[in-house]
Amino acid sequence: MNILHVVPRYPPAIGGAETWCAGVARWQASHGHAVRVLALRAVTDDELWGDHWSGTPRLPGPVAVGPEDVQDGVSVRRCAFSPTSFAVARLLSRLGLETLAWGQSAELCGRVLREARRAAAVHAHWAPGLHALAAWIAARAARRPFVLTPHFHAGDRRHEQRAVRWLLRHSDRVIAVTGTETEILQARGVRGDRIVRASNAIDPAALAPSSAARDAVRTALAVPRGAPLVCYLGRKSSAKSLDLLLRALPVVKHQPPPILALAGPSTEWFRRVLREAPCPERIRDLPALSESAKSALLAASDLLVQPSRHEAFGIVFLEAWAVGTPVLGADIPAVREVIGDAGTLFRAEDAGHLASAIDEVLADPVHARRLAERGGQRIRALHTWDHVGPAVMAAYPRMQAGVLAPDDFTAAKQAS
Amino acid sequence: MTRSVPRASYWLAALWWRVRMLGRVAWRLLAGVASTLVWALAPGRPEPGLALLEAETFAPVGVPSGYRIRVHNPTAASRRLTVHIRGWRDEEAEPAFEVAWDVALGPRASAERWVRSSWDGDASLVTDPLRDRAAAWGARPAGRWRVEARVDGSERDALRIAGMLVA
Repeated sequence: MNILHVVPRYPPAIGGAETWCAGVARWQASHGHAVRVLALRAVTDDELWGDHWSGTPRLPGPVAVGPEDVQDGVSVRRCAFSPTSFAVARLLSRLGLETLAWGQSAELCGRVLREARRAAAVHAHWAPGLHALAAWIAARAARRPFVLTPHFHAGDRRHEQRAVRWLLRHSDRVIAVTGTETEILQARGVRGDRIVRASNAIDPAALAPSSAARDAVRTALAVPRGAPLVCYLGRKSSAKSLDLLLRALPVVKHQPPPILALAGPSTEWFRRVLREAPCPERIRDLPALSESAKSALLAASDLLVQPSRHEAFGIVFLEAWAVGTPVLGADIPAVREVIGDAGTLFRAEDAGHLASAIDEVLADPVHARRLAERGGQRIRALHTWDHVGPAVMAAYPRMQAGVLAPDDFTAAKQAS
Repeated sequence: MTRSVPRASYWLAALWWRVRMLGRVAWRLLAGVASTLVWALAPGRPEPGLALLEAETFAPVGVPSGYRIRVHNPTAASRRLTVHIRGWRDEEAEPAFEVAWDVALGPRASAERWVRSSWDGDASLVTDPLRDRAAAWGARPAGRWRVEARVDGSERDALRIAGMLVA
């Protein structure tokens, strides 16, 4: 089957939607499907969502991508895009269509129109943005089924806009990565029979760090003897609530005080927040890490904290469990479902409660490791690509002798 | 009467600003639609070129760091490319290293190399990545590095990355 994926960014860009799209695409390619990905030629958050009008020069980061690539059998085209002009952004904002005011790419829109005709299904990832709307229009023009994995962040302004809800309601299939997301999507008007559950997954073998890495990491980060290491992994954007974690750090009572390592691509917002952070001597600001360095940091840490108040899943919890590291997440429905009884939760947006939850985990490391072990069992049972891949394929139309089978997609369309 | 003159000029200025903004939006919209149609109808031939340039952010001076380069040929014919990779310390005009990589790519094939440099004027092209060095994470900043890769001297499709030198 020819499958066309449309996503704002593709790895090595970091993010949940990017990782999920790449995992699904790789699994499909390894199972004999011809997989094509259309993405924007962007790696960092600031390239897509940063302030484009101030004229501040932007320094390049440690990763740059070209227009054409093949990664693990997946053909990737990264399309040129231009920052939205001030006038267009202002008009879209007035029309309640802010969600379309970033990542505008004539190349991506044109290519998706052209390439949708060659595909058996068009699959868009991440609901806000012009890319998803362009993919829907292309799928409709080519009479192909349109599948959307929104990675929906309930309460997030970008996700709660009218244009996003409209797209959710008009997709042939919507893939939810958690049961919580299924309920959220139904509450926004998506028909239950159009929602397909396909969880998130990792490749645990790719995350196995060497045993010597733990001491090397702690020495490199100047973690004092006996002090715990707490880490955060991910994009350092305002949506991830890192300001909350920085406020909680001085309130943690554990002795010796923990060292906090924050690893991931930075943003202008984070650099501002970090300058004003209390107890900077306990913070280690690290850049985006390679896969092996990431697993070394996780394995060297006594706790992973994910303070984000908007998450569709939180794949970093799986990555921490894969190396036996305990996890602590905000008590929001999606994270509550993913962590379950294999980690600890704190009241979202409550720095005091976050600090006491960190203390609680650090006070009983044996219990915390036991919870992490439970998480490892959950990965093996639910979160491998061999579990998730077939679930994703269930959202696609069936083929009979190279043509679309008269399946439930047709019935769903006729019913609507 | 005297107060209505500035009010009228304010109103006219606001109207003029709105018309200008709408004109710009209309122009952008028109240009965007035209450009989309061009990409849809005649996207142009894919050309072999750089697919990726990446490195670890921190590069310790005097210890080898690796700079990964991948090229890809999306065409149905074999192609030969020369990739020029140059690295600079801080804002120095003269590159700290310069390496050329001649590569023959089969149809729809990719190739990958690493440039290894200690930022002491040395550089070599290798086939294996370096193992990650956590030791660089806690080191003291000692300036910035920049690396640029381009195919056959082409300016348009050059890839540029940057990071921090540490001591």
